[in-house]
Amino acid sequence: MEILKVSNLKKYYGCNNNITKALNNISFTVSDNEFLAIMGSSGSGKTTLLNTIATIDTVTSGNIIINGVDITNLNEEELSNFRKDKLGFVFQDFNLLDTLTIRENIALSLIINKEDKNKIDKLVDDISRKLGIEEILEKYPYEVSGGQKQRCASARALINNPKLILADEPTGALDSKNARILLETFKEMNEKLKATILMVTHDAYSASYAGRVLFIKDGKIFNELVKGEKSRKDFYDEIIEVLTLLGGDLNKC
Amino acid sequence: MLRKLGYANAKKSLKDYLIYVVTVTIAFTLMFSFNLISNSKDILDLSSMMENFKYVMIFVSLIVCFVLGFLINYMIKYIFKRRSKEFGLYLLLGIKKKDITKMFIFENLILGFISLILSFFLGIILSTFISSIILNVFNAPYLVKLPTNYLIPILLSLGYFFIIYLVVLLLTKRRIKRLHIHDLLYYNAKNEHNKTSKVKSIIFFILSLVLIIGGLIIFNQEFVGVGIEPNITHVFLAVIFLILGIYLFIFSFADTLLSFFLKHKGIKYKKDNLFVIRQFSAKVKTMKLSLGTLSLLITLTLVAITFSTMFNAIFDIQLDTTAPYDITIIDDEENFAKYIDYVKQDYKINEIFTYHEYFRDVNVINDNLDENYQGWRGEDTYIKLSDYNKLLELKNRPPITLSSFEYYIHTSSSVYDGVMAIKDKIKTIDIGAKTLTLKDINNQYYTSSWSYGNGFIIVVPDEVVNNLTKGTDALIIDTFEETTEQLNDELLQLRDPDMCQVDENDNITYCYASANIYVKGYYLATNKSVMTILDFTLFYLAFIFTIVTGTIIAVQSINDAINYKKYYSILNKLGLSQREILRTVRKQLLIYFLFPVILPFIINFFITLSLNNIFAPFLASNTAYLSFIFLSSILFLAIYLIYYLIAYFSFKRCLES
Repeated sequence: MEILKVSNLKKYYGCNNNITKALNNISFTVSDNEFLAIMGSSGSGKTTLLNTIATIDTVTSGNIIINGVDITNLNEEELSNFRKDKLGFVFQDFNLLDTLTIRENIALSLIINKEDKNKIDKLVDDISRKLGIEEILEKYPYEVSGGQKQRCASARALINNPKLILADEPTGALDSKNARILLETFKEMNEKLKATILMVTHDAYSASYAGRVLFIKDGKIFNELVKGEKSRKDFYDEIIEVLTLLGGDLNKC
Repeated sequence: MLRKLGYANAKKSLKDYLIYVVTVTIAFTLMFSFNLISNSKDILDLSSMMENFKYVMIFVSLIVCFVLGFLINYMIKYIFKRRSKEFGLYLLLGIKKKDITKMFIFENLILGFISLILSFFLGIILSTFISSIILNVFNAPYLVKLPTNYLIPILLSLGYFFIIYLVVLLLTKRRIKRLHIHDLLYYNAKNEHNKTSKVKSIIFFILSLVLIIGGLIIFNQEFVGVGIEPNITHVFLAVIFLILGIYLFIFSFADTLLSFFLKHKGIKYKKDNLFVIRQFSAKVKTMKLSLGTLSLLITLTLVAITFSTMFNAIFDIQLDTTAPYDITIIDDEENFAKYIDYVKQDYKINEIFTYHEYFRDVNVINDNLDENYQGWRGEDTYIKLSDYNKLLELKNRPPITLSSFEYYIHTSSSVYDGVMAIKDKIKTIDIGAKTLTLKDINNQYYTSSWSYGNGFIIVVPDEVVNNLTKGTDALIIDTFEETTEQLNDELLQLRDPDMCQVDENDNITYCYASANIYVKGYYLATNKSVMTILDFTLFYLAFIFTIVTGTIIAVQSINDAINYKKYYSILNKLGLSQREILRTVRKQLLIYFLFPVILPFIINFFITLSLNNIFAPFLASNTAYLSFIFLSSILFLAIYLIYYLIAYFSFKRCLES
């Protein structure tokens, strides 16, 4: 079943003869329980793409249908409600509130969703156990490591059972060890908790954990790779090959 | 080069901290205009009492300097913190610390000077406006004219300005001197998450309540009634208790509230409560000392305004009890003609009325009265019903009726309780062959000149006075024009010389005035002077305190908008709509603005209640104080609301940009 269907998506900046085509006629779909990575260098339009799907940026033309609803037709209020019910977010810089404990940060999205107050603590405990952060629930974000923060953010994204989790460079601020732990977590979220994940990254290692990778260049889809039965190592090599074709400097982008 | 940078920075600060610059300008403007007024000849000539205005103003200005210094110091510290990275960069680039200090001080002096210069122009305009109000109070003719004596007010303003800036800039210099590059570059990152233990904050919270309640109780016990002097040591102790209590309350309240919230899931997980309370307690932690001081300022503000509105009402009522008639003269009847002739020279006379007081050899009421309620004269004063009704009529009060077997007592509110206590003993009195029954005891609208030296009069049917001794004669003149302070002096000159007699026992000469003269104009002038000085100084102080508090809280809130912009965008991504986020912001600002205000409102209520013990006898009713509390709260909140709105709209603009 399709969770996300993007068709003929265009996003132009500027006016008249000075137009930047950030997204130029992009179409693709994401099915239920899929882990899709979108790769591209800086300025390729991948973050713009993510933001339009995340409903925090508008489109010039085209449609984005999430779980059967065309979000390009919704107003501000409806979009907020939509985000609240259907989407989960994980960002590069964690985006946790420093004044709240880890437990409260995770609970925040339940509170906004008006979950039954007596269930909140139990739900937070459950998800934390699954993500291995139950030990740090009463601490503040500044007292835990970057990896733990990102797992906390993942727990917050996951706890509402969203239709789609959007992750923007989730490993961007982590060291390699913590990055690996997080990606394993994502994989588990995808495989065991049946989460549908759309991750934007410029890092081939991160992308190799996904089931499918879309490459974007100059606002267009350039290539697509499916992992299938391949090992992660082989998939990684394949991704590197495409990136070389793409001409992007690996370290620079 | 550094100077150029300084100018550029000052220009930028002016834009970023407009609310602060505006507040300082308003404060300087008020200061200058009050200096102008209190040195203006027109104002000082209004009454002999007005000379005091000048000295009171200097004293008040010094308090204002102190508060303004607090604001400016706070803002400079705040601006410095916001720009610490920039200063760190200068140091990194090799600019000397001394030069940076100079530049920063230069910038702030420019901002200060802008306010000062503006205040000179605005102050002149404001002072003509306030002068016209004061002249209007005194019914003096007024032509819009600019102040004439500039020199002293300008020198005073400059003096205050330099005192404030000298102290503040020295503090700043020392602060910068102690900092290192690392501190500057990471100044913002300094975490204030020092956790105070829950138990400690709850103990502090309880202690603060004990101190405040204790302070209020001591205060209440010291202000018991008229004429009972409060013990200064006790009052001082109460004030110390209250100050400590306010600070401890501010220090511990947020944490106590937080632990309460966290314990109750129903509240904790309701709507945006968790976010709001967490933000609030983090905020309070970082600036509890300033918030405590602000709370103290607000307390002073509220008490000042309440006190001054209370005093106004007291003066109006006092005038009614001391000199409700244009001229009242108590003297021998044969002297009345010379007073009347004199008054006729300058005034058109509406009505002349003379009446007599009557006495008996037995003093039924005074002898029964508790000593505390007895007047120095100690004789019961009787007045004919017809005379009494005429006296009421002249005060625009309806007459009373008595049957020929009734009598009536009118007391001042301070003697009322005493008379009520012996009510049973004086149910009937016998005069001559007649027995009179007490019809009623009234304590409203009493006038002290009715019976000099007594707190009450006894009204009897006209024919009863035939059995009494005729005593003092009184003359009342109702003039067409309002009488003046000067007429009082002139009439006093007409009096016979004082009656003096030598006491044979101790050989000391005792003198008595041969007549008592009450001219309304004299009391009006005195009351108006005291009222003007008191009102204007208290309102002036209250206004400054309010705008300083408003500015600091507003600036802090706007700072939050900049610092925590990210938080609101997270909330937005998590699914809170823009509308809901703005609701959260309003809620947050409301708590933030109200927090330092709650306690002052409570303290003001109880202090006013205590003061009411003393003032109630002079006020229209026992509950009149409630209206003063209400009035002062409204006045304060009106100005405070402006700052709340400024904070909210700046916050909103910041989130939307």
